[in-house]
Amino acid sequence: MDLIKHEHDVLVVGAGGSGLRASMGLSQSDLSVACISKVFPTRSHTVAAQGGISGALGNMGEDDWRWHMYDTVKGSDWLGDQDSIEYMCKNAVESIIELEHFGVPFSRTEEGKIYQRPFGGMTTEYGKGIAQRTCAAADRTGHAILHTLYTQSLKNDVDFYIEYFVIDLLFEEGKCVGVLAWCLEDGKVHLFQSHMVILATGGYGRAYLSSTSAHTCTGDGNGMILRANLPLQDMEFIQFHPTGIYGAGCLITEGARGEGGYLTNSEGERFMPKYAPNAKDLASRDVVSRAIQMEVNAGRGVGSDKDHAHLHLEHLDPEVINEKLPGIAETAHIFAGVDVTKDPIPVIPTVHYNMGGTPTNYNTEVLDSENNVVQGLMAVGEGACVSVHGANRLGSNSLLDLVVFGRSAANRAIEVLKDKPENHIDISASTIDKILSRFNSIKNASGDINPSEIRDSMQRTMQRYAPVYRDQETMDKGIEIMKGLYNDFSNIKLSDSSLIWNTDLAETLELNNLLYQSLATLYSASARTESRGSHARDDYPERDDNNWLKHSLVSIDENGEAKYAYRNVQLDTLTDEMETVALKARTY
Amino acid sequence: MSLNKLRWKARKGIRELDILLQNYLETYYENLNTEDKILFEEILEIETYDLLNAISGKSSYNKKYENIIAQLSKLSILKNVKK
Ligand SMILES: Cc1cc2nc3c(=O)[nH]c(=O)nc-3n(C[C@H](O)[C@H](O)[C@H](O)COP(=O)(O)OP(=O)(O)OC[C@H]3O[C@@H](n4cnc5c(N)ncnc54)[C@H](O)[C@@H]3O)c2cc1C
Repeated sequence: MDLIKHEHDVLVVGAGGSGLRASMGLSQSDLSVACISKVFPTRSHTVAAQGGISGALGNMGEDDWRWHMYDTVKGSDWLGDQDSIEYMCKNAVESIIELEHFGVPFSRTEEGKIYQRPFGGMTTEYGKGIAQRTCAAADRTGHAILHTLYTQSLKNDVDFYIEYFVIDLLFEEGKCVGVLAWCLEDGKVHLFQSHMVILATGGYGRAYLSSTSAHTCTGDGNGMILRANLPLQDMEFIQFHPTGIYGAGCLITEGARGEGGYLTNSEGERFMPKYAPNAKDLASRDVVSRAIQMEVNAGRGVGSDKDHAHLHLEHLDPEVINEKLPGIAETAHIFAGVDVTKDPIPVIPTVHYNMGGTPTNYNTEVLDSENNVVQGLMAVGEGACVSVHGANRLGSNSLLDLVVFGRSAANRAIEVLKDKPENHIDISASTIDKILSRFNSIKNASGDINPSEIRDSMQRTMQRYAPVYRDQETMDKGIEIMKGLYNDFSNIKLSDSSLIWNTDLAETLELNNLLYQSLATLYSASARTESRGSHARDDYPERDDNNWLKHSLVSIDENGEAKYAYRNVQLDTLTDEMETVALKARTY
Repeated sequence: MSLNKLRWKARKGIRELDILLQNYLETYYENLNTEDKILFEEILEIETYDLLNAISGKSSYNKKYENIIAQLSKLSILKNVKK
């Protein structure tokens, strides 16, 4: 196979918020920068983020990045690394002001300052008051950020390779030296050589049947990491949003409950007061998701399969719905066939965010199982685990994570490459062949199983065996089934072995990445015998700081077996501007 | 455009549109006449939220897409309701 060769100082894989912020930062140096993306940049999943981006600007009342840090550590159930969290919260204001200067059209207060709204878990004075900390550009914050960063990157001469699917990372003697990518348009395989690769490939929501994420969210970079025998971190921590539309997954925002919406079970009982007497339907995402699941488990789910709940808005003034909750009536109508002024919306806890991913230090350099920096490789965004979200992410902290660490990755790469070698390291034929032979064997696969069957079983298995509430028996069974599916993959068949716009092949490569991550998720989840943040176990209902105040690392060998390692949580802050947020129970 | 290429271009980055456009490709697209097929290709290039708002009836878009957009908004109800 003829390879088309490219050389760049830095390759950014992914053109979502994190990849574009990194590309933009790099383009302001004299390094040559390429950004590779499987979909057109503004079709990246960041476009879906509507709620906003957090930062202690203090435009709506007093605020302090230390309060934001406290909230984030507490939200993370103390699994977040406090050096990274300090770095993120302290750099939030500057990063957001930068976005404003680049041209993001933030909503304004009457005095012309950036408007900020309240968001779950965001408080003032270490939990005492309610903070207004989340900046939004109407209800299209992610969209505005993506478009702005893409325009800026183009202006600054980033070379974009769009609709190129990165297959795998290339390593020579432990250093990452580039990637192989398949161009969907010309059907060729391209060899990209670089001094630094920055992975920014996003989360893997599509491992589940019901998720709020788009079709592109297959976490490909995490698959590449596992195939390179590197570990993923904290994969057991998956955030469920309590109100995804049953069957479709589309998100009904928290705002619906904020405006007075409430949940009921099959007996018509409003059940949240039983679980959260104070906050009721407005309790945090994990609490509400668990409550719905408890009702379903007790046989009080709604619908013919008794497996979901009802969200009521019928009692609200239709004008309030239209004004305060734009788009909700339409979404419910299209995806649930429901007129929200007459009937409840069927909802179910739905996978929404991956806290786990590729482990990095606060400089975004990728770490191996022994905590060493992997040369030539960095990671940012939802696919990375830096770890600022720990066991549970607060809403609006993800967009912040993207821009703060996207920016920091650029700065770090510029620093590391100050004395870059004159030439690229030679890549051996055997390194390339190994990756090409995997690619070709998938492309030409002539076994018995249709990949879509495996995808369907994988998604159902994750849904059933790595759900909101977990126990040993369920997860161990899930591991057995998933290992079977992982092995079944070697017996797939593809009907089309062409290389131009072969969407089946692209989706099968994605499926392979999802299988790796699903296995890693189940392995990490079954090993962690405690409940913390989003990881809720029936058989170990308490947080266990003596044994489990540590990050899980899992890598996967050729037979699909797990290799475990652990890493201490970084409790020390970065500077003496903030003391360590001391461990205590997480109650709201 | 080949059906395969359209399937890739039908990834708009948000779940709502991914479901609708993918379903449309599976059910209606093959039976469209050539002109409508071209219109559908153009629809895939409409900016994400403009398209979503047009489908959900929140705001209107270019009249020439009216028929296909109406089909898009109806089809989803049939496909996704499991009561
Ligand atoms: C419905 C919804 C609403 C949300 N709202 C908010 C919010 O209000 N506030 C907030 O903070 N967070 C929110 N989030 C979370 C947030 O949107 C995501 O965590 C974030 O956008 C992820 O950005 P990213 O840069 O990591 O990756 P993405 O935006 O997912 O981009 C990934 C990029 O990688 C590329 N890529 C992937 N694989 C490959 C490959 N193999 N080869 C080449 N390129 C590849 C893709 O083309 C894409 O460009 C929301 C999430 C959802 C689902």
